Amino acid sequence: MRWLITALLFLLVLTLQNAAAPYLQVLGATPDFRVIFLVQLALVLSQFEAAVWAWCMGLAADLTGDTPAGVLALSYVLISLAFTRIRSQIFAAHILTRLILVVLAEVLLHGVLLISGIIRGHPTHFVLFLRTAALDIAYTAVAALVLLPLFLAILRRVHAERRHV
Amino acid sequence: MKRRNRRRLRTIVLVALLPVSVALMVLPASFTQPGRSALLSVTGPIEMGMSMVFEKLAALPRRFRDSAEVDRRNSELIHELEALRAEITRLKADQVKKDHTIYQLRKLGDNPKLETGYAFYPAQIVSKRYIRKMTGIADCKLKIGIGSNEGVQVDDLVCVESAVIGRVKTVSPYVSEVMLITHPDVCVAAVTSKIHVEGLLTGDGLGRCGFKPRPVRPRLTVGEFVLTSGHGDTHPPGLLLGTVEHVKPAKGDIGGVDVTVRPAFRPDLLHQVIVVRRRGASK
Repeated sequence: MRWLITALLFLLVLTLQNAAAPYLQVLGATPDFRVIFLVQLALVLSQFEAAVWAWCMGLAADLTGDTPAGVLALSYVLISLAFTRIRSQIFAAHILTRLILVVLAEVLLHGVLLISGIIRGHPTHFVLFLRTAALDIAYTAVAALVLLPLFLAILRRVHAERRHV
Repeated sequence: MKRRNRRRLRTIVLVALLPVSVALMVLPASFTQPGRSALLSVTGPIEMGMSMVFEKLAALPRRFRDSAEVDRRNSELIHELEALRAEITRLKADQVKKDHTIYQLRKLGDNPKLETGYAFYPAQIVSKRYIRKMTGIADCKLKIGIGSNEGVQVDDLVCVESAVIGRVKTVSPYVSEVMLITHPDVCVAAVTSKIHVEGLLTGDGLGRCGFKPRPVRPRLTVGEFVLTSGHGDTHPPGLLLGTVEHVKPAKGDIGGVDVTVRPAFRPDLLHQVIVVRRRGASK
């Protein structure tokens, strides 16, 4: 039952990203709900569960988006493994810490997307990319202020406080 | 013992995720096509529903700006009148859509370069996502209300009024995703109208396309049309792709040229499209 609710939540986040994010565009930037959900998953679930969910979410994001299959899957898994490793060393209960983790994850993902675009031979407009990335990260951080507590409440309830933040 | 085995299994799964991800990156796109189609079958209808809701929400502020006083005084009459008008508009819109579809099909059929061996599938756009960058609309992701049940397949050409707008990227039974020709991953064999220089048209990700002519130094002029060449016999020749906007010498390539092509359509004006595929062609 736990995994079913998490799967439904993950599907909802994925479809919201595709359907709602374009209506929330500001100066070409859109919030990334998937990264916010990923960070919260990494802080609540065990290392194994968080990594598997991160991989599935990354693969689903690849298959419904523009990136080649495997790029976001690998990135999400590595971010999840890194965050589950460091969460015992940081004060992850504070909203500011989680916000910083979201910003860090976004920066890493934009770097991966830039490298992926260069490898695929897409025309690269660095200044434009940096501007868009900075706006995306800022916008995601603002959205995280609202969504992180919501996701934490839902995941804690669903996973019955198996992991403590 | 059991716990140790479980821990070992989890470690193996975690380690296996990394090479599997790398393998997926290296494999050709056709390998993940069934997965894309399956995911689109699930998320497509949900996205369609969500898009309708968000469109209605986005229209709310506009409605509240109207004069409330005028509405209060004439509320009953306006309500009745609006209901009648909505009905008339709906009937007219249906008629216009049908006439437009017939006109588009006839226009494509009238093109003397088009062979009769092509099938045309008119489709309504069910969801449109604009990707805006600083320079304006850079890309647009379309979902059309037609899928594999009607015979649409991946890489089929998508047109509007004999101008090509893109290719079908992912197909599910009832919904398909279209990638515009301005996307860097879309490639179409093209030829110019005046001097018949052949080459490849690819998107630049910023709302324009680049045309790479065969290794000669062609004398292209601004305003010249770029058409599909029909190379490979998978799509008809003679369909309009765009017009030459800039021609400048290529950097680091003696004798080469960088050609920018402006697409022959505007993403914000797209409502209905036609999917073109060769009769009897299979994947």
